[in-house]
Amino acid sequence: MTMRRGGAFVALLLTLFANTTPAAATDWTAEEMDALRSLWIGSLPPVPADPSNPVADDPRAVEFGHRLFFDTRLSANNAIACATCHKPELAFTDGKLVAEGIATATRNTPTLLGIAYSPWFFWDGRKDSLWSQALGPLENPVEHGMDRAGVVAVVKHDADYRRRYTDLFGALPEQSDAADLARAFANLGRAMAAYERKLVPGPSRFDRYVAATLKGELPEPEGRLTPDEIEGLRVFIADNKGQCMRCHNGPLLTDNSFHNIGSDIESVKEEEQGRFDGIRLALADEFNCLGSYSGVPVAACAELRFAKQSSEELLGAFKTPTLRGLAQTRPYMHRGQYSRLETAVRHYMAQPQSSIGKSELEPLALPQSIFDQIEAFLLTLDSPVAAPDELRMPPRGR
Amino acid sequence: MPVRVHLGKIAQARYDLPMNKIFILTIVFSLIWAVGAAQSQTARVETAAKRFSVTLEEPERPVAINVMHSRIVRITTSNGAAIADAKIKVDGGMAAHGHGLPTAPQATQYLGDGRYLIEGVKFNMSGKWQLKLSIDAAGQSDTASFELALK
Ligand code: HEC
Ligand code: HEC
Ligand SMILES: [Cu+2]
Repeated sequence: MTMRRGGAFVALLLTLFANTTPAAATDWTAEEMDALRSLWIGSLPPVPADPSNPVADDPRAVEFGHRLFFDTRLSANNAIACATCHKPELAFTDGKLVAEGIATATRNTPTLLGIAYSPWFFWDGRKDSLWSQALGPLENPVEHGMDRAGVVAVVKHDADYRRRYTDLFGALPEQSDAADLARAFANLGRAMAAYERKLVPGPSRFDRYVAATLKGELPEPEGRLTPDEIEGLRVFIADNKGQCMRCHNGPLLTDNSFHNIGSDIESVKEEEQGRFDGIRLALADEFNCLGSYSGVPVAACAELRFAKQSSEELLGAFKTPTLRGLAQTRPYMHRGQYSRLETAVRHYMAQPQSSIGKSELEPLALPQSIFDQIEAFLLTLDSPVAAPDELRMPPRGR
Repeated sequence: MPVRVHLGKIAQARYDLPMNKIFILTIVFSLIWAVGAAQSQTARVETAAKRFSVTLEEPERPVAINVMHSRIVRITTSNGAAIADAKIKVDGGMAAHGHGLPTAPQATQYLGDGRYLIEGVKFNMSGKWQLKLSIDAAGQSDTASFELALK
């Protein structure tokens, strides 16, 4: 081989190399690749079954639930619907510090993206099914301010709703026997849950990046990450750096469990024991998995039966939120205490002590600039709602 | 009755009290073997005061993060006789992170032949977890500790 041909060969190799491995490609270790795959939307399993909701995946229930979700008649002042606080255009949040219904609530409205994957609902996990969760705001005086009789009456007096209800669940109770009424009320929760099960996140820029990276390909422009975003991602997944995946893990970036991260606010500590109260409320709830309206055997209630109840670790612990859709879900944390993502992320740098219980966070030895990169990475998790368009709008014919 | 285990789910057995060094070495070697062969045997330990011998059986499916599951333990005397009347308390957590288990698992059923069903086990992050059993049987108490590596 002559010098010239040798040079051409090397040049050819270089071009081939350049075509498959971009100069800016990140050399992730095998361990990091595992972490990327675990956070990737492609690793999200189908929405888990809910044996306590026989209509969970019935398209008629989705339609009915969609209508109920947007219906302001289910409120004491005819002005509040679930969608008043869970706005589709804000990833089903409201942009407010704390929610405002009939009156001002005490907590920030969480996103409903991927909510059907969680075994627990509310920041303190005081509900153990998606359908029983929906009953809470309806009877909450500061949210919808209704009672179950009022809610069932709306359905009874609307011919279309009445038909939809009977198609799915049989006749509505005529005389208001308390148990019959509760059963009908629970069924309306089941229809709303069927709708909410459709609110799953779709692929974000991050997911496109991972999909390509796992295949060893160069991401398409809509799947490219900047060097800052990549650095933020690297720190996020490293247990000796950001430690974020201790709690924000899996494709929804949440373990759906409860942690004290020093996010409680001193001035309201009496009312904010977090999960410590939440599990007690869940156990006392007439609509819980073990109650007479769930319709499932005790064996189906592992989450409730084996929930941790008496540990100090529950004090001041709140549910880990998903980190998908953060660009739309400000302000952040259960009190909405951080109006910007930047300050929410810097919570992990400042690491405030908890005024009740003890924070689980470990001091991070990271330079301040890293937190901007982490924030940049978080914004690549810009998942749309993967549900059909019509489910992201008010129902037609209303 | 050695049962095969999924990839490194049960990585190592650990003790609460200082123990026979040879036995520890055996465990360490089987760990090395387990990692090398990407599989390990069902974890078996003597309890801290050597009153019982406890086997944590292979899970039915590989244990995934954030998934509620059950485990089976078998408790025998140190000479291998099945123990039927044990009262078991389950505890554990991640020593390295300083937190406990996310759930409160319980021994809910005696399955015969010294085997007990433990329900309500969940691990909510990857890393090294400890599962600790306090065992009360035939007027004696002792503890066993297992170390599990979750990917
Ligand atoms: C007044 C505003 C408001 C209204 C109306 C409202 N919500 Fe919410 N929603 C909130 C707030 C605030 C929380 C968190 C409350 C808490 O944790 O204590 C929440 C929590 C939830 C959760 C739990 C999310 C999680 O991550 O655990 C679901 C699901 C939900 N709402 C669905 C509904 C449905 C269905 C309706 C209608 C029946 C509804 N919401 C009506 C404000 C509202
Ligand atoms: C020990 C568990 C844990 C760890 C570790 C953790 N988080 Fe969180 N994170 C939580 C919990 C719990 C909340 C909600 C707290 C609240 O609302 O009071 C939260 C909230 C957030 C929020 C606000 C989201 C919202 O919608 O309100 C962001 C952003 C966030 N975490 C990012 C991170 C980053 C970045 C890291 C790593 C530097 C990290 N977290 C590490 C548990 C954790
Ligand atoms: Cu941990």
